[in-house]
Amino acid sequence: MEQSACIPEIATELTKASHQNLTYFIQKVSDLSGKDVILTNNHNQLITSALKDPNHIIGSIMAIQQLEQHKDPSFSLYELITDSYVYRGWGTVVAYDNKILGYLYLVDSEVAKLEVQNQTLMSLASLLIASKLQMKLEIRQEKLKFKEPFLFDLLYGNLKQKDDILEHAKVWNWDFSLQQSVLVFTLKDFNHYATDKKLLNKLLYIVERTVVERRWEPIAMKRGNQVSLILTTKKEEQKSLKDCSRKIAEIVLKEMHRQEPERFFSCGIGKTYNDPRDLFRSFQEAKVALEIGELLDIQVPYFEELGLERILYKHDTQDLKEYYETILGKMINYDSIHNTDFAETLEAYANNQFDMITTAQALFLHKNTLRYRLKKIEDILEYKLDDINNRLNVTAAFKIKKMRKI
Amino acid sequence: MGFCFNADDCIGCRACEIACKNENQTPSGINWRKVKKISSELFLSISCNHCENPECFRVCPQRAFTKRRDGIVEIEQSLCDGCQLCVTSCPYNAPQFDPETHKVSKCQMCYPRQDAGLLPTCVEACTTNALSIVNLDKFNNPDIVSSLPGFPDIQITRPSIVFFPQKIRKRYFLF
Ligand code: SF4
Ligand code: SF4
Repeated sequence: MEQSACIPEIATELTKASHQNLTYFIQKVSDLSGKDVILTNNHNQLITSALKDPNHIIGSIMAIQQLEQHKDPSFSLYELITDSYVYRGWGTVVAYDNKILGYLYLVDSEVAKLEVQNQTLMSLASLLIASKLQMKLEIRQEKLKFKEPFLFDLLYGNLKQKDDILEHAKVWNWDFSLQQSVLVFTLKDFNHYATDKKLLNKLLYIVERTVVERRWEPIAMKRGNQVSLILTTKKEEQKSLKDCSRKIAEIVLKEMHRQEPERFFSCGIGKTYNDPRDLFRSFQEAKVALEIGELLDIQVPYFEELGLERILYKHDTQDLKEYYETILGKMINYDSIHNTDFAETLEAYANNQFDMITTAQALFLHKNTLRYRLKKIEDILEYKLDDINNRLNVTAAFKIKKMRKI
Repeated sequence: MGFCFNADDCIGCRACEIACKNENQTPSGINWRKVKKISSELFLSISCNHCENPECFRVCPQRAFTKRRDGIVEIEQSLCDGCQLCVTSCPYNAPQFDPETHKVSKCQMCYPRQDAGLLPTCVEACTTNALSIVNLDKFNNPDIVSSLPGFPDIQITRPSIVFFPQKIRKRYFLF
């Protein structure tokens, strides 16, 4: 009789607490049971905990082992090994409609017995948690359903009202009120077969993980052979958006190369804009940068750094051939007749910002040898290499060659 | 969605070009689809290619372009102020400037027809079925190529069009 009288009291307290967030609710379970409480998801990853000892802080759960089953099969005794402490206690499944959503553990130093009162408490608590987790899951799925179309519309310029974009983005806690830019990653030689689609999923996962690890919002979308990522500035962020994008691009490409050394992944980065209505521009720029970057072997190309390349790329091929011929033709001829490699030397000199020391190092040449060669090149070309205009011409001519326009 | 052009089947009759002009009532001098003779045996029928990376869309200061989820690149004429940046940026000469209205227009892949379940009018009019539309996300045929001689550079814009090249013709001699 005494027992049945205390059930409604627990029930009322728990039901009231279930109107608050999960952390509050778990704390209530801990208060009512007098035990430490740990709640995990269905993959046994920590959702939240209520621990009496303030020195006990769980970062992650490393392993969970079932020790014995209770006579009521819905309860078992477990050992939970966390990154800071090993716990023992009773656990029960949190399920909704026969689907496991998580596990609830009541842990303590004295765990031999599971009191009837706590058994009732756990059963009721797990039911209430299940409906809360299910609701969260549904909201998440609902949000996901709208996320892709929203990102598509944003990246393809279908949203013309700034306020609408800002308002809509709040659903996912995205803030487009400050600066933002787009990064586009692609897998080369993509085909529509299942293996490549899986690879794209992996790329999306790595992109999102890399962003989350830096405590940024992963605003990413997969489409065809591309994964697009929007990076937004945070008020408290010290580094520029440009530096952050480069860092993220480099980490993702390195990781993809490590995991998939046979395949080729690349990335392009668009300009930074203040207005989310211009995100489509950054997106298109990122794709242009990516295409030109692949031609010129630039690992992480920024659109804004490709001015000359873009102009050259769009220019009439015949005109470019004539230009190349005028600037470097004599030397190319000389090389082919005398079997020399002055073109290579000059290209290295241009690639190293016309710096004698770095070029000599890059070519494993003595400085004097390089100086002699450059003198010879000047004689063949009949112009001076210290003139800024000639340097610009030489640089442009080599870019034309690299872009396979010749 | 994208176009698929079979170079072997096109006989240069210009039915697509005329059908487009009729359907869209474009003023004289403005042809959204054009048939070009590349060589004695090769014709190309070109319109806007609803590119994957549309340059027109990137450069437009008025944000007049959009890309629909089915891939169609649309232009909202009421937003256009006639600066013609899109005209110079498109490698395929698709956007066309009308000096009368001072606005730009281009092929919209007959989206009102497509939304009503019909084919684009050029595709329907093609007498030899040389022109068709396909879902490029699913269309995989070992014979298709991404460009043909005479077709402008596809590298940056990635046009939504694929081609069946001309086969080497067998010659029959009559004695
Ligand atoms: S063909 Fe020209 S107008 Fe059409 S989408 Fe491509 S770039 Fe734009
Ligand atoms: S002509 Fe019109 S559509 Fe073309 S870029 Fe200028 S404003 Fe945009």
